[in-house]
Amino acid sequence: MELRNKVALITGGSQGIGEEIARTFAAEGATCAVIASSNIRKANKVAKDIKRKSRGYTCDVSKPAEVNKMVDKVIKDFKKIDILVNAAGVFYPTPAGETKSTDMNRMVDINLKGNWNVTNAVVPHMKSRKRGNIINIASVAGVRALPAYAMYCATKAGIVMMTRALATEVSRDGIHVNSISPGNTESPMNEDIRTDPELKPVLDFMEMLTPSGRTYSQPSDIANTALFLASPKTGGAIYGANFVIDEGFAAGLFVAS
Amino acid sequence: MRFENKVALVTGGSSGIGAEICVRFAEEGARVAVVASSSLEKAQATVDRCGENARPFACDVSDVGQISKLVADVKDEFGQIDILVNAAGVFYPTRIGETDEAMYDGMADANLKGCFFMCDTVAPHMIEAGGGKIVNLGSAAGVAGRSNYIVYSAVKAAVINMTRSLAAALAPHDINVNCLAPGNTATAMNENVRTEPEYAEIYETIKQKTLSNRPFADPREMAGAVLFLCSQDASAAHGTLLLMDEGLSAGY
Repeated sequence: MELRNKVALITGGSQGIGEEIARTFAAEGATCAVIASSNIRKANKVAKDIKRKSRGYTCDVSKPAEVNKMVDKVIKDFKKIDILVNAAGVFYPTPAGETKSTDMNRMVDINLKGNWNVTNAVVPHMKSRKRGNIINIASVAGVRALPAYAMYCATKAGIVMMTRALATEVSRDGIHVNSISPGNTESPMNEDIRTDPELKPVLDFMEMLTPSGRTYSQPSDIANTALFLASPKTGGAIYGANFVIDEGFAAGLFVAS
Repeated sequence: MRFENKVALVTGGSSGIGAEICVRFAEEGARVAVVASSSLEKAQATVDRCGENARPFACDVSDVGQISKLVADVKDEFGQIDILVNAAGVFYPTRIGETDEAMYDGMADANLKGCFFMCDTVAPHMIEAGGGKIVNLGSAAGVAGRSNYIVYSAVKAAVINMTRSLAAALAPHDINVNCLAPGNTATAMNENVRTEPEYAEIYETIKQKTLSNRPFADPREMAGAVLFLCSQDASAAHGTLLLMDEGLSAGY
């Protein structure tokens, strides 16, 4: 029980990597505030499954007022937030010359500003308690470039540096801020690439770039890393780091012998 | 017991972070080949802490001939090598105008050449066995410069990037190769810096540059990270750098 009596707020907690983190944390004793963007039933279902008095909430992280209200409510319900996991995000291509400004803005508003909005609302609470652990889910696309995903790459690279910069600001307050950069990881967000025959070229491209032969990691691979970072026993010396878990995607050129 | 029936070979096992890695592997069920650079007696000190499932070995990893013999001996003793941890290394200042060729070669041979040839010698056994785990010890000094440790920071940067190349080469064989980069960690090697007034200025600098309130990390936490990287939980990690430095490299 690595996280006994801890309270974790997890955005993007109703599906994919965020959901798996909620399940893993709860299995280690944490109570989770499971945040979904809009579907309260999905958030409640995860919260009910994982027990530990966890609860579901909805919040559009791109809206600061909504975020502040949600964070206040979580603190009121659980008295504290020990761990914040920013896992909410969107993923779609933004090819140059073919991308509407609304799509570009949505990407930045949710992935980058959304991460900041929640962090900005939670940090004062953590500062007052002189402890806290913030885990931002970035992406291997934040350290390696992908064609047609310029804005996704940019928002994720933004999260990596935001993580480091925030660490310089709040580490002395006992707050850990780190990021994980997952590679391709099975989630509803990329189900189309894994199953749609039309997107087979994208899947082949990913496969070609993955040395381990496992083109898609499991959400549990990322959740285990999040647990490693969140646990006081294992993550105590880690501040401002970015942990790439990607089946070797970012390691470099490889030739399958 | 995450490592029952596993054999871990740990270089640099006689002291510091390497010794803690040996002890923690033994605590979690692994059989451990404790490798010291100079003598069996030094390795024996760690073996005594590990209990009955550890054996002492001596090997100067800057000598490729000694590496071949070591790996053959460990294979003879345990029958398998599932995990390799390259924690052997030397650490001393190499300032401009104060560094001779022998100091340069000693640094590069022990920290970089030794790491490569350990991987090169052990990997075929892992490939034959269908997989394995390798963790190389980099350093926070390998992600930013150090004015007094020029060669040390260069070879540690090389270890970090070599880890990525090794990962790309060995991931197809189900071998996870990753790098742990510790920052300042409380070991016997730096006890003087932490305790003696003569080093107060250096200690103060480290304290200021460290983002957390703890200028020197606990070596057992470094060992914990190595065990994590060698566990099932990190099976998607290939070529990753785990920077564990109290925030030393994140900022300014």
